[in-house]
Order: sequence, then C-alpha cells, then structure tokens
Amino acid sequence: MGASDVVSHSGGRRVTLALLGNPNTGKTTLFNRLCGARAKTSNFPGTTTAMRLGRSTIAGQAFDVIDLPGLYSLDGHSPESEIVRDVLRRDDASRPNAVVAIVDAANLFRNLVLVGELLTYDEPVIVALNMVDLAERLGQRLDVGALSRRLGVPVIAMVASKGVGLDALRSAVSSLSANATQSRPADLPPREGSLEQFSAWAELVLSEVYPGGAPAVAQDARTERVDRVLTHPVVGTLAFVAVMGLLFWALFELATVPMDLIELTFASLGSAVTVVMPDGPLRDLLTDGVIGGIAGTVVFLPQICLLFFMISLLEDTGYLARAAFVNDRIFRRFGLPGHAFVPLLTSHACALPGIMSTRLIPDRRDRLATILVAPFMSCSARLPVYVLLTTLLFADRPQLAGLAFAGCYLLGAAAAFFSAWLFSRTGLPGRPRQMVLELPTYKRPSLFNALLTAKDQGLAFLQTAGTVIVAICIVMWWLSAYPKAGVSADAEAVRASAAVAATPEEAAVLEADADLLQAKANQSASFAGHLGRFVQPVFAPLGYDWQLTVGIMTSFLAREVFVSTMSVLVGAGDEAEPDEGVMERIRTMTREDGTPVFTRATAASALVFFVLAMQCLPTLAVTRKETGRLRYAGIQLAYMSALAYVTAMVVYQSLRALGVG
Amino acid sequence: MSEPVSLEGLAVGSMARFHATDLDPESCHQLRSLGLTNECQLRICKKGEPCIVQVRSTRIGLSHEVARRIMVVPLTPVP
Repeated sequence: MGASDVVSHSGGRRVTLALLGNPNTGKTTLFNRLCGARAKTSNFPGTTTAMRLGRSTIAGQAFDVIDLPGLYSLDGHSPESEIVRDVLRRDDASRPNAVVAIVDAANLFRNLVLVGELLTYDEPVIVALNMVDLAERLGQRLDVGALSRRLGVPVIAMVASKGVGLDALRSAVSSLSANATQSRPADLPPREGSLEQFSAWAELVLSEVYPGGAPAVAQDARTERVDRVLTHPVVGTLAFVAVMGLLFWALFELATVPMDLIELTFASLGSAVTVVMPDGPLRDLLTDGVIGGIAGTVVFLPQICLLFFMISLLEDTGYLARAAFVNDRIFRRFGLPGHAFVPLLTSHACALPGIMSTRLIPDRRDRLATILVAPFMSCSARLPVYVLLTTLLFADRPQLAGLAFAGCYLLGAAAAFFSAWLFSRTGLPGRPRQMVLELPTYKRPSLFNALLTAKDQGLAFLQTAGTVIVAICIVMWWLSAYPKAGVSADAEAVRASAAVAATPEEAAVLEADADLLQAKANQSASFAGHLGRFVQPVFAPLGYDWQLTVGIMTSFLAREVFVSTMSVLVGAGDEAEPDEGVMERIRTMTREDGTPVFTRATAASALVFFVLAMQCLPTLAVTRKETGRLRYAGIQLAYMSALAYVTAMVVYQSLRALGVG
Repeated sequence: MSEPVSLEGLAVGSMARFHATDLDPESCHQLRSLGLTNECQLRICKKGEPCIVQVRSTRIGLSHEVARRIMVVPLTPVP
C-alpha cells in the first residue's frame, strides 16, 4: 500500500505526520531533513508554546509535518504534555494520520517509556531509532527487528544528522495505511498507567531486544571530565563569562554591518520617495511614518537572527544545560532561575531578542519573572542617551562622565535583580523551581539547524511583533508631526536672509537653519508638544520643563528618539549623534524663565529616569506576545515607569537639598 | 540491607538505589520522567552544585537542594 492509499483511506484529506520525542533526540534535525527550509513557526492555538509546521513530499505525495514540543512523558500537567495529548485525542481533520516517535538509540530506556505511552493512543506509529552510531560507539548492540516485533510497529535505524535511514523512514511512512490497525503489545500498561508501570514495561522490552542483555550504567569518562570543568564554581563561571563574552561581542560586532545596511537602505528609500512624491501629508506619512516605522523594526532583525543562530549552536552542543547550573547559584537568591542568564545578557544588546530567548526557560513563573525584569538591562538604544546626559552631567570632567556611564549599567542590572526579588515576594510568589535538568551528551552543533532556527525566529518576529510595532510607530509619528505649526516667523526671517545671501552656499546653510527652526516650531505645536506642556506639572518634581517633558514623551516610542528630539528643540536638526556645537546648545538650553534646562540635578535625574523607565513600545509588544497577556505588558510599563519616576525624583530632590544645582 | 541516606552524602562513583523524596509534585514528576523512578539504580558522577547522577544512560543535573532531599539506598559502602 503506497502513499496514495493513505490519501484514499483518509478520504482525500491532507495527510498529517506528527513528530514526537524526548528533548535532545534529534527531533528538530529530522524535521529539518524532512521539510528543509519550507517550515514555518507558529503557536499552538491558545498557547505560547511554539510549533513548527512543514511539508514533505514522500513517494510523490505531499505530507504536512508537525514538530510537536519535546517532552519526557505524556503524563503530567506541563503545557507540552497537555498540548501533545490534545493533538493525539483530536476527533477532527487536524488529528495526525501517523506519528513518528524519534528515539535516542543510546538512551533507549527513557525513550521507550514515552513510546509506551504513545502506543496507548490509536494513531499509527513509526519509531525512528536515531543516533544508532553513538549507541554502537558505546557498545550497545540492539536487535532492531526484535524491537519492531516487540512493539508491533516499524522501527527504522537512523543517523538523522547525516541523513542515514531517511529513505527507509520515508518508505515506511509511504507504506503506512491510515486506516490500518497496528497491533499493540499485550503487556502494554493502560493509558492511565503510572510512569512506574511504563518504566517496568520498558525495562522488560529492553531485556528482550539486546542480544547480550540490557546495557548497564556505563561511565562516560570524557563527558564527566568536561562536566567537572564546566560546572565548577570558579572554572565553570570563568568559562561561562568567556562564552557569553564571545556571544555578546558577536551580537554587537557582527550585527553592525547588516544593521547599518538596513538603515542605509531605508534612508535611501525615504530619500527616493521624497524626490518622487510632492511635498505633503501623504509623503510625510510614507517617509517618516511607514518607512521610518518599518526601518525601526527591521533594524533589530540581524541581532535577533544572530542571537538565535548562536543560541541554537550552543544548545546543540549541550553547553546551555551546564551554564544554567553555573548561574543558578547566584540568580536563585533573587528569585530568578539559572536559565535567565541568556535573556538578561542579551537584553544588554536589545530587550527584544532578550525577551524572545526566555523561551529557553521551562517554568512559566520563572519565565515571567525574567521577561518582566529584562528591559532594565541597559540596551544599545540607551547608549546615545547615556552619552548625552553623562556629558551634560560632567561636561568638564570626562573621567567622572565615564564612571557615571558605567554606573548606568550597574544601576540597570541592580534594578533588574532587585525587582525580580520583589516580584518573587509579591506578584510572582514562590522561588524558582529547583533545577533538575537532563545533561545531554556533548555533540557537534548543526549549522543547518541553527540557520533554520534563525530564519524561523526572524520571520516570527517580523510577522507578529513587527506588525504591531509598525502600527505603533506610525501613531507616535503622527502625534509628533501633527498638527503642523503655521509658518514660523523666525524661520521666515532666516529664509528671507537666505534669499539675499551673497553666495549659494550661504543661502543653502540659511535655508537649512530655517527648516530647523520650522521643525522646532512644528514640534512645539504638535499633539506631542501640547501634551508635553499639559503633562509638564507631573514631571516638575523631577526638575523637567516642558521641553524635557516632550523629550521624555517622544522617547516613549524608542529611547534614542530623546537625543534627536532635544536636537530639534535647540534647532539643530534631528541628528541622533549631535556634534559638539549641538551638545553645547543643548547644555545651554533655557527654560521660559531663562534658567538652564539642564542643571546638574536635572541631568542626573533624567539619566536615572532613562536607566529605569520603560520607553520602548516594541519591547511592550514583544512582552505581550511572549506572555500571551496584555496585562504583563501593562505591569511592566507601570512598574518600570513608577520606579523610574520615584527614583529620579529622589535623586533630583536630594541633590537640590544638598545644594547641587 | 543499608538504611536510606541522602543522595548528597554519597561519594563520586558510588551506586545507589532510589528510595524516596519529599520534593514538590512537579519536581517529583520531572525526576520520574527523566528515569529516576522507584527502585531504579543510579551512579553518582559529581557531588556539590550541581550534583550529577547517571540513571542508565541519562545524566541528570540536580541542584544541591534537590540532591539533599532525595533518599537513596547505597549499593556500595558509604565512605
């Protein structure tokens, strides 16, 4: 019976194959071998657990392939177990026509427990006995035929990473009849049987399929030596710092070129639209709103892809499980799990990939705690703000400015750990779950898997968070750009001077100055400007006038906007990195009563505010998506804003009380 | 037959039989699904934080607190 028989037996419906297995059995590798780069990632309906869907052609017939989440047992209340049980119990067209159980040949006992549980369901099963090469190296010689007869299902010996056994698996799938009833072992425990019953059954099966008897507990001396080093309190920590330093460096350095290219491409696109379209609101919407919004989203893509590429490589090697233990000693004291190290470290580059990488954390409480505090880490978007404000704070003392700069990083990290500690005693009660982790065998990582993971995560980011981010960016642009101010008298005066300028160069400079004065007038007259004046009394205890309040409010979109807003307000254009002349003008900005905007106390207060405040709408969008609840994005916004406000006020008022102006 | 002792008290290389634990139900389930079921044999690969045990071919890392709360029956003399 061929694939066409499967189709005819399933009533012409699409044929679905589900892949099921323990973690670290090569399930993803097999999925990638079957489906290649055509897979897409989405969440199981109503959950935040990701699933991958792909298509594979077997004997001329297209199959849908579902990569079910890795799990150790169908029993229990973990989200993964509940999802897989739900898939296997479906009574509609979405129920899989067959299940391929991927089994680690070198770790057969534990894998057989899951296979036993699976056999209590009605779906036809094929066992893919993966990593037979590793089992043979360990001296475990298994009678594959005997195992197949004992289980009553086809068993295919494979090395998925090398493609060995793939044709045999495809052939087994194509010969499987959708309506055929496989016989089940007579001694199989019932579906509701305990893990102990399935373990006893697996033990019995093992004793029958190894000609020389079931393998004893074998010592893997090399793995033990490496584990002793990588989990050592001192050496393991140093190794961890080295590995993460490399990852961090790569994230900053290697992503720079594609990020610059993306910014350049969108800038060119914006310029092209400016040239082609007549001046007006539609052009502004396209260039500043749509193109600016998309650019602001897509620019994160290289960091996200690169991060998931490197995490996939590290996970494949087996190192991440060891690193989790190294960090657990410290993190646990603050209510965070050891797994939180990758998200928190990554958030120093950007909170978006940081929050997305919390998918590595198995426990929901631990994951939520990490997501809520990750944005406290000083991301790269804060850098230009730190540079501006530390320079304003210590204009004539660069060493102190440098110290203040480093202090911002420390303050952010301290706030993250303090908040995690606070959450563990309030909103997220309980301590992180005690670490119990499988330490997988060290393996050479798969570049192919890592590339596909990077592609999947990048697309998922663009499809979900990206759409929300672009919409929000457009709204924020509109608030900052409208309503337009009338023609500014100052700008017109400069323009009149330009008309009678002695040289074309001088005229161009004066025209540019006039444009900037008009931009400043527009900023002041915009909804955001009006809002700034309206909201200013709220920020008065922090020492901010309406201009600084506008800077704070526009940077709610993204922190780095603060620098360009302040540049516009002093009539210097919207440069993200102001030159020294602009810096001096920002430093000497005055309030309406003629007093300086940036006193030392105000600059310190603003610096603390930017370290602690949630001023990144994309981060809130990703928090909502990753937690599945808008509530957590709201909590994150309210908590971080409140902490930033109170701390900045304490800093300002304390400095004033100490006589620091 | 030896009396049950805490897993953390065993030396590296010792063999033992799992006896009982008073951990929370989720952690218990996690241990059982990793193969640490009633009466199973295990080998101590590393002590301290983490404690590493091997159950058949599976190496399991346990935080010190978990290891402290797992009672085992030594199959080799306790040093």
